[in-house]
Amino acid sequence: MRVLILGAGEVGRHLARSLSSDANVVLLDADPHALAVAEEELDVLVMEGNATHRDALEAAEVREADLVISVAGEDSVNVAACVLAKNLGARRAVARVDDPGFYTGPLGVERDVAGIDACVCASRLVGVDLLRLVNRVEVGWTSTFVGGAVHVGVVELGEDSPVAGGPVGSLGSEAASITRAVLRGDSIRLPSEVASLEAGDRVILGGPPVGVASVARSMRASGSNRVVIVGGGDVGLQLARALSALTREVSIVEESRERCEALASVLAKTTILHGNGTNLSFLREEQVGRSETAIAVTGSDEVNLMSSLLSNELGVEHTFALVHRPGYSSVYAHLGIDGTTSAHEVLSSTLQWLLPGRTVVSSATLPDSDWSILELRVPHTLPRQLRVRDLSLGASTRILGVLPHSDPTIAPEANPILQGGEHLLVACPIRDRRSAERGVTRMETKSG
Amino acid sequence: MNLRVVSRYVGLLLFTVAVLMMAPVGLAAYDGDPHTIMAYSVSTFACIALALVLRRVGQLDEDHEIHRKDALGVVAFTWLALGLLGGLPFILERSIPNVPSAIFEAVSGFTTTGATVVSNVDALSRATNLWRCLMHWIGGMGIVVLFVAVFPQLGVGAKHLFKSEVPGPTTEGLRPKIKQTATALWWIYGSLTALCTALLVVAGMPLFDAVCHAMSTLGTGGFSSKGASVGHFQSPTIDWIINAFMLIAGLNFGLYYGLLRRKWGTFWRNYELRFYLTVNLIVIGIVAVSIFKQHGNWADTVRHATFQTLAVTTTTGFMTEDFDAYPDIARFALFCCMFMGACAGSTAGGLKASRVFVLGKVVLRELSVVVRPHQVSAIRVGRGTVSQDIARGIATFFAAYFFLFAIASFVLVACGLELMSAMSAAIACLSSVGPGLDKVGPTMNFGFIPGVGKAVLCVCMIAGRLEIFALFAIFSAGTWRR
Repeated sequence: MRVLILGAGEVGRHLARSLSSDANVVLLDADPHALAVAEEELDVLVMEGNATHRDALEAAEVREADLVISVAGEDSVNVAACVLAKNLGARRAVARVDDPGFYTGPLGVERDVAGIDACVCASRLVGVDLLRLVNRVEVGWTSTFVGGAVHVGVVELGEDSPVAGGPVGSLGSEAASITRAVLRGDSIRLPSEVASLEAGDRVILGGPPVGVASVARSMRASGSNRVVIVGGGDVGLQLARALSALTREVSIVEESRERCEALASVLAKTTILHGNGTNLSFLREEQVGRSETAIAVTGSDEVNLMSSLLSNELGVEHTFALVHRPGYSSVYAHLGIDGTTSAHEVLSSTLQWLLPGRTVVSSATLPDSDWSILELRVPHTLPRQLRVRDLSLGASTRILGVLPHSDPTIAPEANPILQGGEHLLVACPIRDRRSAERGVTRMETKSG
Repeated sequence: MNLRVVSRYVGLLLFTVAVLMMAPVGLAAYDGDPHTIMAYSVSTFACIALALVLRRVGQLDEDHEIHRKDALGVVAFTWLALGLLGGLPFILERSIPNVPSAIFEAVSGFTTTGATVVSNVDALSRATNLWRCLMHWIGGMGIVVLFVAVFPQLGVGAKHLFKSEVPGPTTEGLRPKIKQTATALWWIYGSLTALCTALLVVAGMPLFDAVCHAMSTLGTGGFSSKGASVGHFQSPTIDWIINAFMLIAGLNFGLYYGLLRRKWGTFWRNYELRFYLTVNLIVIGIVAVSIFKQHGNWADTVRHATFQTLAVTTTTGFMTEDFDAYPDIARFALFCCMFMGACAGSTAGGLKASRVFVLGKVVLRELSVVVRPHQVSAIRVGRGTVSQDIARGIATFFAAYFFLFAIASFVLVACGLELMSAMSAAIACLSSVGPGLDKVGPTMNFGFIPGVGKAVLCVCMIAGRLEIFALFAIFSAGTWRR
């Protein structure tokens, strides 16, 4: 597979590095210095040229590219380059567009805009990923699927859980649609096979990030509710929106007065604080230490690190931070910060998900069990019409959901007719992974 | 430089050499010559033993990436080891009992120089002749390039290895991954060798000689299985086939990859190719006019002029007749051609045509700057331009090349060689041509040069093959700093 990456900046190089084991990567940039750095550290072909010039794209053999990823510094360049690349015969094109106003949905990935297969918004994706990390405090374990659009979480029901003892049917419609399966002992049961939930059950939830978080909360006896977000940019705004939907007490610390006023006009339920997230007396005065969680998402690594350390010092239990420079994450972990995310990592994992040609597009292993969750891609052309349950994926494999291509939410288990290119979310024992994969690749059916 | 990493990969490379050394073992067994079988088997085992020791020393706790310094070390030490191990069978077989001479012969083989110390080639065993030509063939495209092509998962380290063995303005970037590039190059190289062998057999050369000559030609080496070199066969057809394949081996192999992908334009528009062909035509013309009297008819004149010229400009060093006996104008033209060599990205040595071309352009530009100091102009080559940095790098390379040439000539003169022999021996080794003029001319050999002189020439050959800096980097303190 051939991948053409336009833009050899930090993100472009990180993508090239993460893709170069699976694909033949060509890196195009107009800046010879950026290319010299890439040439030194990556086993990829580098070419000098402007991403919006047709002769440069043709010289990079864009017509043979299975995927074009445009991650130059400017949104308009990325969109133009992708449109050109598609016109010149590239099979797929993905553009990085960071302006949140470009998107109609909240997810940070939008498909089929102006002929471009996917537009990705780094700040949105980072926000979604931070939400997943924050959810871990509550849910215990989360993982992302469908390029970040679907979160899967596992909630262990305690003795004091409000839903323990009740039937699955009494959960309410949102909770029922998100509850995918129940891990009881060593076996996984679908909700229809469980009479009532018991303490000690581990409920597997899967759905949109905010939905999973709110259902998880409703299943547990919860503690403190305060979250402080340092940095009121797009990531902060989006996080505040998502977290306030979970009935948390959210405050944002932002240094720019104007930005504070703009935030105040769009966020009704959030407390907006005008001040510096690294100013200790300000943080003390605002009693930041009484929050359960602090998330630092400013545009500066230094501010994010410092304010996270100060929050820790003041008594915040969980701190999370946005990291801009790749490779800094390990330093943060070393200093006691609970979780970090970065634009490079989320962009590359989202793009990995968009890569054609693989059956297992994402996978995760459930903690303390021998089960894993796989996202399997159905081939684009099917030999014959099939229903989902006709697929033979191994004896103990359970299908948790069908993810239609156009709409990234989990469809209920109505045993629909399988469409080419759809994704299946399945739980299978780790040792049966290969047979599940083979079942989808070869379209094996139970009847033979 | 991490010595463990270097040791590990040098060990792995020597395994590759051991595998290749089994070919002469097989041939000796087929010929039923126990003495030769013993010589090559012992050498193979010595190679394996050394490889095992190096692997043992270089055992790593975890996967270690090959950095640039390590890659330089791996390549330089591998090439130094090649000379020692490649010469071992000659000593054991007693075909070249003198140790410095045997090492000289092996270094000359692997660096595709083709300078020999053997006075009677026809008396050598078939296994030894195969090994001499096989060394050319392996060294032509490069043992490290072969290793990169076959060894999986070296990542960016493969790129550093590749660039240390194939420096200069070259062929990387045919394919996105360096492993694919290396594989493509070896495929092209192998296929051309097979084609050359087949054509030589059709033209009437015995199979064994055809294989040897094809390997020697594509590697631009110069060792022949016959004492009179290609002249032994006295066949115009064979001469023209070898002419064609010497030229093919002297062009950038990246161009053939372009041809395979039907990019005809990039082939003919290549400025280096045009420049190189023009130079060849001019030199062939000079040589032909000057030797017409010796032959009396144009067919033979052109054939011999073309052969001798290509043998020198592609740095192969075959001969169909003694060019040292030509008039001085032809000798001097060929002597000058020894400096230039052939195209970058080929298996040939020398300064490379593109560098000479660019430097010529730089000189012209400097002249125009003297006349009009305010004029700003770029160095144009073909459809593109060359940046100041690259031009400076080329000028530096020229300077280093000439320093080395001067030092080596000085040592040889000090060893008692006469001036022309010393200078031509130095440049013939540095540019991997093989035969020089006078005492080291095509019909003579290098056997009489004292040990010190041979050692200096060995350094010249390896330095020339690795384009100087890769070899001398291991003598720099910065390389050894951890």
